[in-house]
Amino acid sequence: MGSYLVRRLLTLPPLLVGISLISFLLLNFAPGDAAEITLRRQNGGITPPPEAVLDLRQELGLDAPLPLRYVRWLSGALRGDLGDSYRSGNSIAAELTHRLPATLVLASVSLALAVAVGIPLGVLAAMRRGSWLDTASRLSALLGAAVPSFVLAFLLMLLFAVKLDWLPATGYGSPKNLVLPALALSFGVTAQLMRLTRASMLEALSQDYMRTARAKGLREWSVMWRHAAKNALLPVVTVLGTSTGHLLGGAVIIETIFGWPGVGQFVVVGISQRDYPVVQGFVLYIAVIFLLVNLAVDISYRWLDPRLHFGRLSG
Amino acid sequence: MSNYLGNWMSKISFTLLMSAMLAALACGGGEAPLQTQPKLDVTSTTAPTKVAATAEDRVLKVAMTFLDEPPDPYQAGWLAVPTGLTETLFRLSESLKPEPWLATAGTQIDPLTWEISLRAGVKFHNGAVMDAAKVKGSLDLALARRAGTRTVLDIERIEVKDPATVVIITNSPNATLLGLLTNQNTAIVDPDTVPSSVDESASGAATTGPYKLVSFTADQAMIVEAHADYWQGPPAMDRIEYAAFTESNTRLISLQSGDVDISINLSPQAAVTVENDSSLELRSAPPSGMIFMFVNHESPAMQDVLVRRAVSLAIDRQAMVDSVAQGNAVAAESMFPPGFLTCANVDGYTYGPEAARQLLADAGYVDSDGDGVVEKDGQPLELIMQTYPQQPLLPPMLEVVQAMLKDIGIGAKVQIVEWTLASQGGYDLFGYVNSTITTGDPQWGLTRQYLTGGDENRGNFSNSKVDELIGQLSEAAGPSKRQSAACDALKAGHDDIALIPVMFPNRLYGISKNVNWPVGPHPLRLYFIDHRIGLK
Repeated sequence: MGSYLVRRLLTLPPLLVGISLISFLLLNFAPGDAAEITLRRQNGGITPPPEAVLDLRQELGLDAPLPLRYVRWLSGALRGDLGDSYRSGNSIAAELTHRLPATLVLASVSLALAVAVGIPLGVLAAMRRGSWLDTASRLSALLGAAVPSFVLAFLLMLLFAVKLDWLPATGYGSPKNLVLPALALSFGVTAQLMRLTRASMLEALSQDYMRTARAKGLREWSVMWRHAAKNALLPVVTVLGTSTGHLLGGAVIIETIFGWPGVGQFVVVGISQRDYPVVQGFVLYIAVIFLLVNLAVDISYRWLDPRLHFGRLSG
Repeated sequence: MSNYLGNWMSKISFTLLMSAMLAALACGGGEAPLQTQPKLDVTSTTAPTKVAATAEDRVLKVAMTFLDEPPDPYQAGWLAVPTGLTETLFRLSESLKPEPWLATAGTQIDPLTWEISLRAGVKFHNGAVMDAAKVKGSLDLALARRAGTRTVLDIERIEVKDPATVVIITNSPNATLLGLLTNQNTAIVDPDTVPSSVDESASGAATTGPYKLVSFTADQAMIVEAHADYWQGPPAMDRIEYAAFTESNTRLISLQSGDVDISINLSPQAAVTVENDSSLELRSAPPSGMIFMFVNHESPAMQDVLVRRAVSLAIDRQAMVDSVAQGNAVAAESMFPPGFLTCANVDGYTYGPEAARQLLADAGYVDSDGDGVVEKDGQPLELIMQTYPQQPLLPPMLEVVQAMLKDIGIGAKVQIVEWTLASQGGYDLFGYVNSTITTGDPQWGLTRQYLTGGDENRGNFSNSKVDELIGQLSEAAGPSKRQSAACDALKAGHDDIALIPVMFPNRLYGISKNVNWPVGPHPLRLYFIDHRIGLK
């Protein structure tokens, strides 16, 4: 366990460097001039003189060769300094730290909702294959895969906030404010979990050991939960790990729609304003979380299925 | 069974707990203060919209498009004036003429000298009284803290004549100074409350508007409260809460659901929904911003004025208004909205596909291979049209322009890019939005858009006759001489198709029927919240 953990942790730095390098290059090759955008905004929309743009490029270090700029950024990041926002002049680390909790609350609640609904429904759908419940769950899974979260977000707002007037459409602070964004964000993952759980359960139900369990005279619920569900849920845990990344990424869009005060709008505006340090910092922050959650999921395999060994997992 | 199942459920929730742990880790540093913004604690469980509000408070809630920068009067004044935090010495009237605001009069003593009389009884948010020394201090800071303000005002120095009068000396004759003093970044601030370091935001400084800042959280919310000593009387509301929703549909839904009382910048589609809702009302501001296309005057195809005229004639502006803007706009026959500058010598741009085809033929373009696109010297006339997505009318407008150009035999490709690329060539036409009437004087728009090297002349238009006429306009004094000079300059650039105006969209506001907005929206977005707007 210990050596496996060390090996996995050692893979994180090169992965993070790779991710940050790709995002750095993509940002810098995108058209648009951060210095001109910054000056125009500061000057109330008036086009800045070319010499002012050159001066600011120099001040921001944008005139340096690309590799040098990346190395400078990376060395700062290693010291915990993600740089300052071109837009506000504030520390990126402080901005992200201030806003990330709201994003994590939304993503965590959405994940919990997806697990609480998706897994039980998937199990029940498999147990009652061909029933109305099975048909309904498959239809929901299809919808979840087909309907983009931003479309669902507006539909939920129209239904629950405008037509029924049960919940606020926007805002932050009370549990009521969390319901619609969490539903919109979790729907796709819920459908994915439901579909995967159902498929895994059906596969488990067709195994020989199920016949043996029934032949032993065990009660049906015992057969289902102790024998089928136990084996069926391992791939579900794998999907939970990747879903965390999807939820964090998707939260950016959902936050923008609902006005949720997480990193969403901060990053979206940062992208449109060519605020490179903001986008770089966000990518790194999310990458760290994503990699750590995936590591946690891998470790949880051993816990969930004692037959697995870390040496085999790592191979 | 229950123990077994419980054990399993606890194992499955392991990953969830990991997420929660990460959230908790991040929350640990969540209250680190940021440098320049008075702000709400977004990590708290108290809704920003309820901070310190009491049941008795009269609270107006407004959905904004952006709250991207603190309302620093010297930097992001576009937010400070519209939200009733700051005021300038002069403001533009509904007919876009300068009128006194914190001043009572402005008189040009000689070509370089203006004398400004100040209003008595004006108090800053900190209780200090506005006088000539404070106004001089405020304007000096405005010039010192922002290069753009120095460029626009071109002021040599400011003097205090007496406690109720300041004298402004300009570097060159400036007949439009009063219009320039409507600029949001010349808002009057108590200079004693402005941080001494120019790197520190002045958003917390004491100003004179009907509301004073309580808190600001970038991209999220801003709260202001009534300035009880406001010089025009107590404001109608105790508090106004602004929330930022960049999504147009969210602004509409938050209005429909009652989360907010006013939503600004509705899309034409949202306006139809508001009009059909009996609990809501649509308010439409007269058009001011211009939707147009920059012409890249360095592009080989567009250097021929016959081609530029053909493109302009190919555009059915009224059809554009009816389809793209769903009637919430006015066709643009010149770079100024109707009524702003009436010129008998300027023929408005019209729709004429037959005339456009003839112009292309006169320019040597013929569709010799019958593919629907004209050619010259074997090269098809295919234009690259770019625009940016933040203004929702622009991309559909270019798609309609593409079809209209196709109708006269010009091929076109539409590309959605960043707005800064308008300055970097690589296109033939660039869809854009700008205001040409900001100071109430046509010299502003003509200089920015038509003058060689003008700060909004992104297509690099250059015409020595136009430059000369704009120079004459800057020296002209007296309303009739200025109008005549402005019309001459406009005609010269207009006939040379410096740019291609398309339409002037109305700015659309959705309001709850509970809102009392006695004076309706002003043509300029600069003027929005005043001491009268409130709830019934």
